[in-house]
Amino acid sequence: MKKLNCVLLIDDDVPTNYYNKKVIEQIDCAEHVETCISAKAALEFLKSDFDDGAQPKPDLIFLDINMPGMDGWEFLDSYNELSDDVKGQIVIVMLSTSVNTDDEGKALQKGVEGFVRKPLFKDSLTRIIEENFG
Amino acid sequence: MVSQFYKLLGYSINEIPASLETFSNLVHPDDKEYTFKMVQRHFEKRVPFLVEYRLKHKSGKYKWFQGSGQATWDDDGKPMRMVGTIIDIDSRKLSEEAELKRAAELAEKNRELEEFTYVASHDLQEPVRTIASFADLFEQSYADKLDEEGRQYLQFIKGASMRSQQLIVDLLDYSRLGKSREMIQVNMNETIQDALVDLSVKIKEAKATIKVDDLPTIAGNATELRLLCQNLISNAIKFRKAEINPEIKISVHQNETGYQFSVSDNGIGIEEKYLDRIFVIFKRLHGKTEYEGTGIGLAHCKKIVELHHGRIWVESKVGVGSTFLFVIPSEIES
Repeated sequence: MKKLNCVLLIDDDVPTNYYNKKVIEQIDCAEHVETCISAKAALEFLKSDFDDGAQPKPDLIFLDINMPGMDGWEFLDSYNELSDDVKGQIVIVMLSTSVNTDDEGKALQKGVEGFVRKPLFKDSLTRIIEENFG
Repeated sequence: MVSQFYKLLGYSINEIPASLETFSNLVHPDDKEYTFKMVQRHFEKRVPFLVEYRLKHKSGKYKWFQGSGQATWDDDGKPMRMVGTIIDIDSRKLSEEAELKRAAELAEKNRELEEFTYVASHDLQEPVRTIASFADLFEQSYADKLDEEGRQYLQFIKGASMRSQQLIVDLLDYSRLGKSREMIQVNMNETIQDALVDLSVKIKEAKATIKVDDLPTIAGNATELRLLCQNLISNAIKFRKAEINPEIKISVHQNETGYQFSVSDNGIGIEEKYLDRIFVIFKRLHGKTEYEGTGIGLAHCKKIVELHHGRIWVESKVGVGSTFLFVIPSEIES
């Protein structure tokens, strides 16, 4: 399995980010894991300058839907308005408690690559990486 | 007129005799007594005759009509003859009936939903309490045997179980709102004073000034109205700007439908796109680390105002402040 440069976790719940980071570390699939506890903070992070190499640009984003203020859907709308060189080749996967199939359809329409139910398991993480980066 | 009458009922003229007896035979048994009582009333008291009744169509089905009539009286005051009109109101009546049925079904569904919320959240309490208790016990007995990471896990478990407990309590409170309600005359000046007493520590800490207009006495539920005022004032203090002291103004004005109350602050304000969302249960605009709370307060406010057949909304400008407005109608049907 390919080792990613950076994974970005966006979730307002600190323990959730901690847990997901742990799962990523356990299968050793990324050099760096970045966490943001709000969608706004994540947008700012993505707009930051990655060219100097001081911080790695994410290859994969796990995005929560239900967050205070700007939620996952609004994040996707704002993200889709970003310029192509900011977006790059980033793969976005929704990671949500939602069991609503409408949400899944909506996510795919907004250009998301996958929809995974919480909690994140090693198997589903491996599958996501193989499907998108294999 | 007579030919119209037959046509509306599917008969051809002369198929049945034009008489009061015919009418009496065609009118629905449930409507007969009332209709004839109204005719009698018209004859005796000369008040206008306007009645809705069902008549039997030739097909055997009853249809709704609206009949009106005017008698003429002889010199002795005896009714001589009566002329009138009859209008087919069947489709209107049917949609009215369907509307009533839908409303009753909706009320029943709402009741079931509230019952469900109550039972579900009540039964969730126990397992969540077990997690919280054993996390505590685990920490007391084994925390010193754990490494840093182990203790971190334990903190997450404790934090999450506490939050679950709070969410369940909020949900229970929410579902209980509106049960066993006593509607009385509530002096809103006293309601606000009671709320301010409860909030006195918060008010002092935030150095908040609160100006209150002279408020009216309204028909409502005292406990709910107090909770409503307390939530709105508490929010106005909570979402204050860091650099200035909170100033809160509570005013009222009367309009044709009732009293419109407003709670204005000079706080951080709310982005326009979130103005509706804030009244949804557990919806929050800020992270848990910025502002505490589960996001139940305004959902409570909305439910309380709606239990009083009123409306609540907010006007706001980011960086300037927010004004929460609610209308309580003066005529409340119980």
